Amino acid sequence: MSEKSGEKSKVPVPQKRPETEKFWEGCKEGKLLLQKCNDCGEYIFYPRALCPRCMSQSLSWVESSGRGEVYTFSIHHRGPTPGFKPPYVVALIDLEEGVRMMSNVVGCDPNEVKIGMKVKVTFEQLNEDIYLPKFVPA
Amino acid sequence: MDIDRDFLKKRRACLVGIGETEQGKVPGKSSLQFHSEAAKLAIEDAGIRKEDINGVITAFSFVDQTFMHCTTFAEYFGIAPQFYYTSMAIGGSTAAWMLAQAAMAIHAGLADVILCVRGDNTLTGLTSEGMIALIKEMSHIELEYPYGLLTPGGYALFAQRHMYEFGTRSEQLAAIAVAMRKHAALMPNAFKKEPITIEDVLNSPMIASPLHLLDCCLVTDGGGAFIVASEEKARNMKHKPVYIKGVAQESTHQYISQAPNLRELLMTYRKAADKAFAMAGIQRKDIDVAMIYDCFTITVLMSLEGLGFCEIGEGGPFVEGGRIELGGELPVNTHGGLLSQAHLGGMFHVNEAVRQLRGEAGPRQVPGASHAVVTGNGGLFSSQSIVILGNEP
Repeated sequence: MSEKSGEKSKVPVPQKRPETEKFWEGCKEGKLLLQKCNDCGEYIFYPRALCPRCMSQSLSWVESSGRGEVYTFSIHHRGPTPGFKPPYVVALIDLEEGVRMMSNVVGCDPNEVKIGMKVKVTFEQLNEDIYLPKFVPA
Repeated sequence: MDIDRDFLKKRRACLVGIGETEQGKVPGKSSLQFHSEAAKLAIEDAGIRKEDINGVITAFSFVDQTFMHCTTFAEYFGIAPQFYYTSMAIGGSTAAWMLAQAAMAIHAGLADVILCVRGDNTLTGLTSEGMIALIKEMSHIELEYPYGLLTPGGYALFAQRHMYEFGTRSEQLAAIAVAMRKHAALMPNAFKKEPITIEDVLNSPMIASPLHLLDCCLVTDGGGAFIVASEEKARNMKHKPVYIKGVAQESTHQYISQAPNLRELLMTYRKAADKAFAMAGIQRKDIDVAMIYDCFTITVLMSLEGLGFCEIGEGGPFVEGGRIELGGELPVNTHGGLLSQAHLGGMFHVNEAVRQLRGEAGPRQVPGASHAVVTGNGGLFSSQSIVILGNEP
């Protein structure tokens, strides 16, 4: 994260770590990448060094369809830093591949977001390297 | 595996002293000062000397981040414990689990008079940077925090889904906040006492839908402590002991995006509760008063379902009509809880259970209370602690 003083007012920018470097490279190319276990077939999100189901360290990166639906959501009327502009929607998205991820639903009025709503991924550029996956109505 | 249902019977552990400083907005005191003042009050309440303490369990301070917190406190307070558990850090699950940890140490013969203590100047001492750091800790730093998840927002995600699946309504959540406020009005050491109505909760600012400001707990300054001793030691102390009769914990996830589906989450809670009740050898109907971790109104509703006081999905109707208020079928948080008394991670849920089981809760006394359940909830339903207390062995 951006920890430098004076950055408080901005939206936090994720910093790559060993497990996530490939994920962020994918986002930069407009692909939502998931890990898949080569031994048990489990889809894995968030990215890890081993399969949380079978401990296999043989994992592949596969591209998600980027489609899913809203499992639950909350319209935030305050943000953790002034960089966030309320109201905005924080949601848990169930991807077609069966994994769940947090994101924002954008591109519509927050009041239009519903549980079960079909959504698809889009990418929001935060800096030259980081493109944050978000979701819009499908 | 099956847990040992009888471990608490082999060498019994009892609550023998409680202490609680002034709560609310209390400027000019440090975290260690609050720890020390609360510890002193608990020692006086137990009627023992400081030198009798041979075990210490502490947690953490949000304001003063300390390497090796427990021994730092022990040095400041002037004790040299032979057993200590430093920085028990399972969030709001900590206070209740301190009881289990103390019981385990007593069972193992590592100590027989154990001080459990917390204190913090969260309201007056925490900077905005410190508050942001806390929000960050609740979410996955790379793949949740950048989306602006607030801590109330995490619980709001559960609440929204609960409403969708079970038809739970905001008015029902509000009934929980109203009950806590009614109880706080009868609690001398409560921060928020002015009465509120369901409409007040619904009209308070929306923080993270569907949770309003009055669905959220307080932020306060203060210290709290309790002392756990072996039954043998407890016999010679000032008060009739309160026995630790059943304990259980569970965890299904840390970050909310990794939590199981709502029903599965609550079923896991139910299984842990079953273990705690089996260990205590009592039924749900034997519980006279419930101290349920109440960081948000939805936490109480879901915990009541998880504990098995009602079916999963029926928490909404259950909390209506005064059932969880004094005089109701299952009084919850008779001290006002985190929502209205003060927020020190549930330390006062333990203390109020002790007062109730001693029969010393004054205007808040549940007549003839003999069994209480105390819960803790850390993270975003990430860590659950369940403890059953009774005033007989």
